[in-house]
Amino acid sequence: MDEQRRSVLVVEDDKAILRLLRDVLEAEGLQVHEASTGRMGLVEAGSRRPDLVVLDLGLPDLDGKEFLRQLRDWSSMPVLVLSARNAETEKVMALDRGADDYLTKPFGVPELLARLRALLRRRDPVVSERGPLYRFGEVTVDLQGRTVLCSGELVHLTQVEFRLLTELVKAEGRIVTQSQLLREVWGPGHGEHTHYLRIFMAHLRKKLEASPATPEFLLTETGVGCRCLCERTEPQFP
Amino acid sequence: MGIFPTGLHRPLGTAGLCLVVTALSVALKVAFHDVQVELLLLSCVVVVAALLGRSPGILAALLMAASYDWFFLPPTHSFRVSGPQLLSLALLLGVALLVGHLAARLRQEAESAQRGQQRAQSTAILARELSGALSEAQVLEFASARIEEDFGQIPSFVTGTGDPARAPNSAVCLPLRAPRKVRGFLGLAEPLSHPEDHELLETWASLVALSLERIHFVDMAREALLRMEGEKMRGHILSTLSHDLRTPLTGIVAGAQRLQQELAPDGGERLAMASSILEESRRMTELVGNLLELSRLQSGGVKLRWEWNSVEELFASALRHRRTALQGRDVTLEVADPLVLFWCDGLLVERVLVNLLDNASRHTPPGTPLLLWAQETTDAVRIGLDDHGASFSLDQSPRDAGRGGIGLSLCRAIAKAHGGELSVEPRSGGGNRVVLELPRNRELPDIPEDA
Repeated sequence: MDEQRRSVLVVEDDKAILRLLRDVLEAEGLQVHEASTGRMGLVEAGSRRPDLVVLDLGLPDLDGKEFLRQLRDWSSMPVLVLSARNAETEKVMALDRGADDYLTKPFGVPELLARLRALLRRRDPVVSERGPLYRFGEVTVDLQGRTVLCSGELVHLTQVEFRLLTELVKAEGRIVTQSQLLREVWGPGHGEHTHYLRIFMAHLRKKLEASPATPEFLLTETGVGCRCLCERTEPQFP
Repeated sequence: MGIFPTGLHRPLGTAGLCLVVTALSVALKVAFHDVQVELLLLSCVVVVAALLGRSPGILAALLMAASYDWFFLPPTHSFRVSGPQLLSLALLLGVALLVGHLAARLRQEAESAQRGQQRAQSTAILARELSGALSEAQVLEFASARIEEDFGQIPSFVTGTGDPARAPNSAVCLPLRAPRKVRGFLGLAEPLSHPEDHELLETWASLVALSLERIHFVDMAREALLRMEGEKMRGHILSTLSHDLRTPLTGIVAGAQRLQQELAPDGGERLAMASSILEESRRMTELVGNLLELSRLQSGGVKLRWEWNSVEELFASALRHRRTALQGRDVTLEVADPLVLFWCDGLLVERVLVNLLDNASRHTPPGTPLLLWAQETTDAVRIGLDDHGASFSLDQSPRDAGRGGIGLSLCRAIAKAHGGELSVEPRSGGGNRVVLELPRNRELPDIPEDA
């Protein structure tokens, strides 16, 4: 696997965007497979076994939900969806049905590459037996040790704050939808309680961000969910 | 009997008939001495009462009693009566009155039965006609024709209101009362003589009201259907347009971005051109987005995605979206309580903030600071942006060098959709204060304990 080039399957019906994605991805050293319809995309995904799928939600033959349902029947390969700005409902639906992240059209190349790298990084197997560490800014999160350090000092988090942070860092920069967070942190039946998220995200920012009002790492994407721009590192043993 | 003036033909006819019968009786009495004329006289009363009604019957009874007294009771040719003759006369008069009364009542009942049948028939015809009516005008036309035929008057109708003040000011006025509400009024210029006529007219009025209500609901259902179809189509067009416009824009933006990257080492005019293509195509994308959102909001029937949102997060997210446009500017945030939570469609309110920031960054002198603030009162959340630009009003069109445009129109539409409003006021120290005021329409629910 390491010898081989990483491959990406792009499912997109617009020729111009397809070409553009191909250029960008190949410049990044990735092998690109293309499909212009959803059905072809599913066939290609099955035969090529790519490391990542880029999926346009506006396909003419198959809607994104259906594509994801069929893909998730047999594969957990990461999927990045592309969708329009006003289609937040569509995005959330795709994310809740197994898409790993999204990009709003029109997107910039740097944004696209950042998302792709984050998704591909997640595929790397965990090497250490001790859990990984997650870092962002001055903060280091050790999930196994249940400790959070900010500028080298221990930060006290409440149970709920820690659970929320855990869900966010585990996604490693990917978006986590509101309903996923509410379900994982507060349990089923709290799907409507978006004010919990507002309140506890504010707590986390106050404790972990240098400037809580203009956060750099603990971001909320209105109407969709939250993400923590962090990196996973393996702990170094002395 | 048309030869007599109206109103006189009954008494005159009665008198005439009585005269003829009296003459006949006198002739019979002269011809056959022992003939009994009483029965003949009584028959005359019965005939008059049956043909002409109760009052002529009474008149005939009196006339017959008088002529019996004058011609047949001794002493004849005198009204003087005595003893047993008085009894005969009284008996004749009594029997005549009774028989006349009975005959008259019989006639009345026959007449009323006939009238009832006629009315039932008319009502049935009206009901049949009304059930086939397809419009309000048709209902009124059928009803007018029928009323004119049966009552001899052309009615006047007032429809579309149940307000008694708007009822016609005529001798007869009936409300058109349907199950849901009063649908109008029916007026007749002349009063009705018969209480039964009034009843009949009331029945017809409610028939008309029912038909009007039926047509009203049919119209409503048809309109709702049309609206639904229209909305479905509009939604379809908007989403197609959105996809079709954005797809080429994505290509342009990404292409310009790559061009910019490739040209970056060389610098120069070509790089500036690539940057301007990128910037303008991004603006174009914003415009398209605003336009689509505006038409979606203005088409009505848009469901807002109500959620708890925090002012702080919306500010941060809007600033993140406009990072490049705001470079070189000092943007201060001022939120009274960092956790102002309010119930709104977060994406739309964020869109307002982004558009306000966009607008300010384009129309105020470069480098001047901006202040983004939020205040909370018991029943509203006020969010504002203070700038140092030339004063402007929301009604100015961009062509008059104003700051209006699609972006601000969308902001207003979003404010309206939330039941709030957008306003601009000049600041005391120069510059503008744009304020979005949204009603607080929900109490913050409890927050669980957190150990």
